[in-house]
Amino acid sequence: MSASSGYRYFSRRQIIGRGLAMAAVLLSGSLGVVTRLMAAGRPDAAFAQKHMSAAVSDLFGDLPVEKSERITIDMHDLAENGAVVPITILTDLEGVEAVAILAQENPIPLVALYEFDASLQGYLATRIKLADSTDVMVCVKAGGKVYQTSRFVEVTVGGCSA
Amino acid sequence: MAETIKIRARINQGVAEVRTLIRHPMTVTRVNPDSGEVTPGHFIREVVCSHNDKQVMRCHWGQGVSRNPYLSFHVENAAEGDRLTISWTDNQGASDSQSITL
Repeated sequence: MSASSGYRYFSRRQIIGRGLAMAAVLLSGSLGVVTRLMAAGRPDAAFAQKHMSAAVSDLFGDLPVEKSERITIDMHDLAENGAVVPITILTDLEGVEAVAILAQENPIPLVALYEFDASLQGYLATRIKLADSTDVMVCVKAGGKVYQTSRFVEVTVGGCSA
Repeated sequence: MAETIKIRARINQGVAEVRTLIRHPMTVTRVNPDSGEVTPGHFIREVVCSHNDKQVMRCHWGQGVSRNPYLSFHVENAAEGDRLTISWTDNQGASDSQSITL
């Protein structure tokens, strides 16, 4: 391959890359501006952590994590099927910015992170997998502070294989 | 990938109570202990919920969210005729989006 053809190939890639970047900018402009939601994107480092507390410090940095009675985790103490465990989170904290669900005994303790806009109420319900009997922790970032609460859930059949 | 998202919502005193079901396998990455063979997981990475073109919630999911995920949340300042959009993207690049009018 001659030098010139190599150069042409590179420039074509560049043009495509720039075109895609431009399209992305145009698209994000037309979809409306994200006001409160974090621009940081997916917390890959926190998903890679093998311990809840490490994942929490990856998510929220140096912010102190305070135990709070104002978060309620509504779920059964005994989960028969670890593959599908309903969980409802309620909080009356003002200005919720993010909610994280973690389970210590899961292979990946960070289950999910939800970024909230100001127009969302302190309510979230979903279904998660639990590999084994475990502490389930919910962290809520509100008004620039991080609050957490946790509870123990006994799992009869783990959801690891699901 | 059509029709993987079901959205139900009702307005209660200006608050939209949204419930969503997404059809998705949500499998985890597995390593066969005998052969060491790795079966890659297939799961939704991101879900974006918008209310009248304004993003109200962005979910970053890992492999710990159950198969056919259920998601429910409450949006304030909602009125009849408002548009609600849910879209997801998984780790294999597949995606889907669904809108409803409240």
